[in-house]
Amino acid sequence: MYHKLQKRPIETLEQLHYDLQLAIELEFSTLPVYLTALYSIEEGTNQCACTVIRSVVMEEMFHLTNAANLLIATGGSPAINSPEFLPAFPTKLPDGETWFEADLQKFSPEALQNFLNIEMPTALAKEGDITIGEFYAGIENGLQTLHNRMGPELFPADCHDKQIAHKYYYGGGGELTPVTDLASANFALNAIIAQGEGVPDECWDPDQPFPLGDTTGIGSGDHQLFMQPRELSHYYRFNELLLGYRYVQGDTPNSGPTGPAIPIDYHLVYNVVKNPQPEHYQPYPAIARLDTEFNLTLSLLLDQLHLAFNGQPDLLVAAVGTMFGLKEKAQSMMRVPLPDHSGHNATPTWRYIAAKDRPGGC
Amino acid sequence: MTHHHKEYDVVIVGAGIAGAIMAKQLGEQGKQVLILEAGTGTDGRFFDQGKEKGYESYMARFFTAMAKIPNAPYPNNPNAPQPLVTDIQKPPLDKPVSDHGYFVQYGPDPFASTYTRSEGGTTLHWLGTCLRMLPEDFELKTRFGRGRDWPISYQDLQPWYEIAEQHIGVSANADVQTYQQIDNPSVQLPFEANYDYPMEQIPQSFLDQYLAKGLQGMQVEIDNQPYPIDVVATPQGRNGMPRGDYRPVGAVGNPDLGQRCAGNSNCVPICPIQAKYSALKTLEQAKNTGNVTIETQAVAYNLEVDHKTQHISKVHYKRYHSTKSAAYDDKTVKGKVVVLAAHAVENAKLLLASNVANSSDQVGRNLMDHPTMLTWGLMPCKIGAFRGPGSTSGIPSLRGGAFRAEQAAFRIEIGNWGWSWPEGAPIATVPELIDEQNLFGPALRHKIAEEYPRMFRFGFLVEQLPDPDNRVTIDDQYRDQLGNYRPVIHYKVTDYTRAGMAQAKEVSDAIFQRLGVEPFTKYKTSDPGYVQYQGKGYVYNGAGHLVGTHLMGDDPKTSVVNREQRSWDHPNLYLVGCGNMPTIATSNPTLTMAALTFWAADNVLNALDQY
Repeated sequence: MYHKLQKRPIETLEQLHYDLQLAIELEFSTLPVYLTALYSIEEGTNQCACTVIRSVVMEEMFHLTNAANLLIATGGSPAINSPEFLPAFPTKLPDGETWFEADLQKFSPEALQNFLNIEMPTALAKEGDITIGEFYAGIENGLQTLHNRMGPELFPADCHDKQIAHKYYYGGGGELTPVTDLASANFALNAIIAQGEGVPDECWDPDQPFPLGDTTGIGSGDHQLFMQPRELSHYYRFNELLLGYRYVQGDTPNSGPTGPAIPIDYHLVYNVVKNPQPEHYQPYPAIARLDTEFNLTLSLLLDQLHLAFNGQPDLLVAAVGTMFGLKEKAQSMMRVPLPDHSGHNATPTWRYIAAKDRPGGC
Repeated sequence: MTHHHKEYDVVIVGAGIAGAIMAKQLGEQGKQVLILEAGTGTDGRFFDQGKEKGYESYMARFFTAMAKIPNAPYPNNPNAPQPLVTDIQKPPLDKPVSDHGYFVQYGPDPFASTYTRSEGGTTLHWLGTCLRMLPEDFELKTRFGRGRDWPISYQDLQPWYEIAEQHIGVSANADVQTYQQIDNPSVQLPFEANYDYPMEQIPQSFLDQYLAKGLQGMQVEIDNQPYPIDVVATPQGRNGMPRGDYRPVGAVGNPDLGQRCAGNSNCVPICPIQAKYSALKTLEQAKNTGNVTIETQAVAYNLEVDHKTQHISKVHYKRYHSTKSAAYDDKTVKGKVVVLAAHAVENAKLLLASNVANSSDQVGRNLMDHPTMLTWGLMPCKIGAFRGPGSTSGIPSLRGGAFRAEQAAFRIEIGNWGWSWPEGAPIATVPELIDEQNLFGPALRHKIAEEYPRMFRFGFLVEQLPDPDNRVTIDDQYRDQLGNYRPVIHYKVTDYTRAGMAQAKEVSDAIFQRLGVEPFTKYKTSDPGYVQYQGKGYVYNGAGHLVGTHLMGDDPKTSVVNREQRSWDHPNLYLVGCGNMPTIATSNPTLTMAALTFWAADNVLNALDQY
């Protein structure tokens, strides 16, 4: 059964674990969406867009790891390698948002609009629309509630070393810090919320300039939370791509980006089919086989991540290689036109294949 | 606008790793520094933005280059020409000289190495190998009666090695790199207690592990003495997993990239994500001090001497307008201290052209390289060729030993990229399968899938001794289009080195036999680097390790700089780079050079305090 957000304040450790598992699924569920768009861009073109999407993907993995560390730190165990872990696309996100669906599609203005929906800051969302930020706010409140009741016992000492250490984290995105108490737990949560939403504080004024460090917005401007230079939240970075301009110093959410143009050419993109289902490929065994090979690689990746998050962190080194395999298989699939004269190319379906259903030797 | 000559605290010639380290160290202490760089640069950008200046423009050039040689990504610029490996020819027998390309070669053997004349220097195309020298390497004359001694010891350089390793961001494990596990005390390295590299070692390739297992317990005999054959991970200037609080530097112009090595498989000639260290990173840090200016397209061609004080009073340089024409402005600049960091060959050329620092007559002499002999064959099973960094392990156990009295030592590099170096695989070898073996379709795919993952190669980096007749000179006949001298090179590979090559081939044969490797090594008389020793033929390649040309010593009569790396002849002239090294030994020289440069920067700072 696919997990869904249970709308309620978190009162028990079990509920906290449930929501943190959901957070892991939520973070991972954005990856097929972003990666399908990223890999659909012809190699060597649209470099600005590629680097923005790529860095957001890395941050999503950073968020996933933060959520997993939080779950481990409070005595839970992330569950990653199961068919239920991955949604079938198009999908509503697992945190209960009902006002849009996340789609697998090529890099396009439509895809970017979809990205903006995913990363919508609460302050910009329509009244009553659930956002990722609110979901994490619920976790923050739950942590506080449980900490009030349990105190330091919420973070058992024997869970400190089971977490993923910074050194394993594949570069970019942020600094993994061990979760050992309420403060470090909130720090980890804040990193997720601030990067994703760039959630402003209570006195947020959309006419206040962004905290950018220089005139172009491309250089530096450290944010101590991330240990890396200038960082707009995902929403605004995608908005830059959609509008084709950089935010620069002095720009506000209301002003929009007024900086240098971002060169984007939507023609240099493989016209991959939107939200493919395995049935689509049944008439074309060669394409179905490519899809299966992709899904087997994806399944191997989820297995490796699962074991890495459950006591074998060294497997993250091998998982990096698997991630590259995923990219290579996706890209070779995207170069193949569907024989149905639709003008579309193939693209992976992103399904987990359970060990018992895999061909021998895998 | 005023046109007065600004006087800098320090003028550095060359924006490679040595110049960058010097500039960063001085800039951080508030010194006003100007770097003159002969080549073009990236303006600290990753993206091109249509201006052909970012790092990505190098990638674009690499992708479209027909020959993926080390300098393929970097503009060949007629105003600052650079040598290319494709220029190397066997010096013809009937003529005394080969002047194909940038180098003018008088032979008798071809000098086969190249370097990059561009901001970032040769670190743009280095492999990133960061080996320390052995203690005995500093005392070759005393211990073996060969070559020269250094004016400093391993212990003197030890703390500077640590600084250089931290700065470059070397991935390695100290307990492995001490070679304590190797049963040959000559190669063992004393590390400072509790020291470790800033990042954990890059994972060894499947091939490395396969070899380590297959060669376990193997020994070879030299002069009736047994030497072990041990596979050891190689320390590398590329980002791995950071230790403790260490954080590697991201890519220049795009910090979102350039974190951890992702095995892109083209460290040479260019790392697309800048996981590999390049001097561009240090230059960025230097510029961020606010005290360092880099002027590219500025070719220094003459050093003017104040004959009263023997100080270098002015640096003359030609600032060309573009790479498309030879138009330039003639300019001069003054520095309280002048540092030449323009690479072994270019430093020597500039000194000779200016007739300075050469009272010893040693400038340009003692040019050394690691003549690199390759052996290759097919492994009995697939060993995952063409994956990961170019090399992740080596066999260092023959880097030192009593045999150095008679023959060269050598380091064995294990190549991860199949037959790419000797045969140009996979790109250059596929047409042969199609055109000559008439393979196509499934049969072609099968052949590639069966054979390419089994391709295996060793590289033997053989020691060369300092020889005053191996030299860079200048000649009025040979100039580039700006009127600057081209390097004229005399070079030979002596029997000491050839004996090392012969020994290396024997070791290779023994290893191939033990592992069941089907040999494919061919040394053709038509290869430019073909040499004979005791009736057998071998071929050497260039390693890109250009050492010597202005070496360091204790005696002004026989060396160019003193142990502080200051010219014996000119009190305000410092020379840095591999040219200072009196011997090359068996380690790739960049780390030692970087360590020496950190030391030199300290010496320059002390000297400036006295002005």
